[in-house]
Amino acid sequence: MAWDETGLSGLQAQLAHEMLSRVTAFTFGPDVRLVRGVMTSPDRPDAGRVVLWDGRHLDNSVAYDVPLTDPQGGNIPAGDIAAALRGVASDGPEHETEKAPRDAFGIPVIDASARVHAFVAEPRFRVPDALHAAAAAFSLSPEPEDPPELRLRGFLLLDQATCRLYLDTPESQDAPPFGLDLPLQDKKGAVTVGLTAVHTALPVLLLGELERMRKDVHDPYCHTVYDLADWLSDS
Amino acid sequence: MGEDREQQLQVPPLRVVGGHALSETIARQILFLLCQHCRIVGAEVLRLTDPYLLRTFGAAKATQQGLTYEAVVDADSVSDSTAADDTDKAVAVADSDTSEGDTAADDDAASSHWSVVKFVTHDKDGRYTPTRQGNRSIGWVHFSGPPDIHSEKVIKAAVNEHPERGSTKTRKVYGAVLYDTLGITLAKVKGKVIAQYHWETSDHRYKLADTDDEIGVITTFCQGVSTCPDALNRV
Repeated sequence: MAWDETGLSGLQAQLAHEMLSRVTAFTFGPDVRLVRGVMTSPDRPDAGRVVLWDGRHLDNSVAYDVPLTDPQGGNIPAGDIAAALRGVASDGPEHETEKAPRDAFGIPVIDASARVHAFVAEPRFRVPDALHAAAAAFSLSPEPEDPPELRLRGFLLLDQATCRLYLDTPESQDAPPFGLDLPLQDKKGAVTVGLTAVHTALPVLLLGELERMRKDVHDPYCHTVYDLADWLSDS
Repeated sequence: MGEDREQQLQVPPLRVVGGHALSETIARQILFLLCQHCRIVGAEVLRLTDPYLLRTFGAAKATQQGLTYEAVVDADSVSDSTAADDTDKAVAVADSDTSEGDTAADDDAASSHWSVVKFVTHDKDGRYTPTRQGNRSIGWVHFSGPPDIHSEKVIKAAVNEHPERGSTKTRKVYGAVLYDTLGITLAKVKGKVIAQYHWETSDHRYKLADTDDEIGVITTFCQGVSTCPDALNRV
C-alpha cells in the first residue's frame, strides 16, 4: 500500500489531534490522575460530572461536579473547566473525599462549582493549557455550511511564551505546512488561553495580509514561518 | 416579551419558582436577556411588575449602561410583608449609587460579561451584527484600543456594507476605505471588520444560549499596517 503526500499529511493531522489529549493530563508530582468517566450530574442539568482515577485502582476514583456555565449564564469553555478541575483535584483537603456522598457506583462525589467559578473569575492557567487551546482550535472540523480552510498538521512549544502551529490548507496538503508563531502569555507574563480572534481571522489574513508577518527563520518542519505576536500585541 | 412603550419596556408578571436549585440562575439569565433586549430596541427603563420579584432575584438589579432598574409591587396582590420590605429596599438601591458588597460585584460581573451587546449594526443584506463587550480575546475589549479600529462610528460604517472576499456562511468580513487627511496629504487605509455570523465562535470557546443569535464582531485590523492610523479613529 503506497500513500501519496496528501494521504500521509492526513495521517499526520490525525496524529496531531490525538496527541492533543495528552498535553494536559492531570499529574501532580508522582501522582497521576486520568479521566475515568464524564457524565451529566443527575440532579443538576447545568453541571457535568467528571470522574478521575489513578489509572489502576477503581477505589481511588473521585467524581467532581463542575458547572457548565458561569454565574452570568455564559458557557465555560471545556478546556477552562479542565484547567480548573486540575486545581480542585490537587488542592482539595484530604478528608473531603471521605465525607463526600457516594453515587450509585459508590464513587464519592464532590461539588466543585464554587471553586470552578472562582477559577473562571481569576484564572491560573499553565503553559500546557495555552498550548492545548491554541492547537485544538485548528484541529476542529469546520461548520457543515463552511468550506474546509485550515488544518493542524503539528505543533511545538518553542519556549514558555510561544508556540508554533504547523498548518496547511486544502490546496497545500501535498506540500510541507507553514508555521505560525503565537503568544501564550500576555504582556504581564500571565498565561493566556484561547486565541479566538486569530482562529477567526487567519483565513482572511491568508488572503494577502500574512506575508508582511513572515519571519526570517529556518524551520525544517515547515516551508515558511509567520509571526502573529505583534498582531496580537495589545490583546 | 412585554410591551415597548416609548423608551420603557414594561414586563408584567415575571416569576421564577423559588426554591428550585436553578431559580436564581434562571432569574439572573432572564434579567440579563431582558437588559440586552432593552439595548437592542432602545429602551432606557426596564420595568418589572411582580410582587415576588425581589425574593426571586435577591438583590440583583440591572446595571446595564443607560438602564434604570425599577421594581414595582402590585398592592392588591401583596400579602407578604417581606416582599413589601424588599421592594422598598430595592427601590432605594435602584435610586442610589451605592450597592452592598455581593450585589455590586454581581452587577459589575453581569454588565462586563463578554456577551453584553454594546451596539448593533445591520449589513447591506440585513444581517443583524452586534458588537459585544467581549474580553481580551474577542469583541470590543479585544480591539478597542491601538493598534486596531476602536471607533464605534467606523465599525458601524464598515459593517453597514456588503460582506467581502474571505466571507463564509458563518464568517463575515467587512471593509471600509477611510482617508486620513493631513493637510494636502491623503493616505488611504482600508479597515477590516471580521464578524462571526453564528451562535458560537469558530474555535467553539464562546457560545450563546440562543442558537438563533449571532456572536457578532470578533476583531478588526487595518490592511498593510501593524497599527491603524490614529486619525482613523477620530472620524
